[in-house]
Amino acid sequence: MADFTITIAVTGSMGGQSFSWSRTATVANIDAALYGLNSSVQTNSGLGSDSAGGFSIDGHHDYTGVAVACFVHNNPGTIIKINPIDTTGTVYASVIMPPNVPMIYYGGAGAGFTGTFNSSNTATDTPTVDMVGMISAEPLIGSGSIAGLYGLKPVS
Amino acid sequence: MPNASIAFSASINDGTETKSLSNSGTISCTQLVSGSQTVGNTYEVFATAYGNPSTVIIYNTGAVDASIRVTLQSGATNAYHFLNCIAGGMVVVPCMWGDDNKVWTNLHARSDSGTVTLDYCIIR
Repeated sequence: MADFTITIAVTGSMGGQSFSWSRTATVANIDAALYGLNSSVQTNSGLGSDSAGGFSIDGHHDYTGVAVACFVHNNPGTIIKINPIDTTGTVYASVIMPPNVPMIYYGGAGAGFTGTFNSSNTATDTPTVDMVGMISAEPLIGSGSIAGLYGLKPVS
Repeated sequence: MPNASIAFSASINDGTETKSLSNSGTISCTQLVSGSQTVGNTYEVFATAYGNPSTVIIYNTGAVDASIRVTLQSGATNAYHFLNCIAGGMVVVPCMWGDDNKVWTNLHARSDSGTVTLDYCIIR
């Protein structure tokens, strides 16, 4: 078992004043990790689907959900939309990823919320839907690459 | 327009090798804000976009999970997306979500139980 560590640092300068913010997050006791690159995101391609041009982790693990997953791309002038998918193939929490802005998802870790995400019209809902590691990525502007790193351990 | 630099890295040594993902780049912005807020177990306003597309990075300093609720408004109807920010975890809320590629209007946060303190960085 190992630790999955994520660090984000933001710096900037405006009006002669400097800004700096940095945090490190750790998920402990990860059993296994998967890494994937998709060099050319096409419509209906997937990091976790069987679509042509996609990258699939489907069948590569037996967990009911991922403990942590993160994605990023840095293609100038390219905007990618990612569509996380649950075990039934339903899309939740689709998000638009501009270059250099990562996305991070966590599975329920036992105590606490039981899922990674949710989407609804009910304001009092909470994250109850597991993410098995499947996303589809589609180009909104341009066609670029995207990379993902997954950490796996039993989730609630 | 000024830029903010974002450096991101993720890594794990799974006993066989180190797998890592990293990226460094810039995004345009006019405001940078950092702070900390403690929320209870019902949704509280965490940030508003004030009409400006905003990216928010949230770090959970506490010992319980936090739910981050993203609000997308379409007339009188709200659509919500929820993210689990586990204890000790960090999530990113980009400015556009959903099937209709909407800019979010409000962020709310709540703890799973008790209170939890969330550190945040807003890039607007």
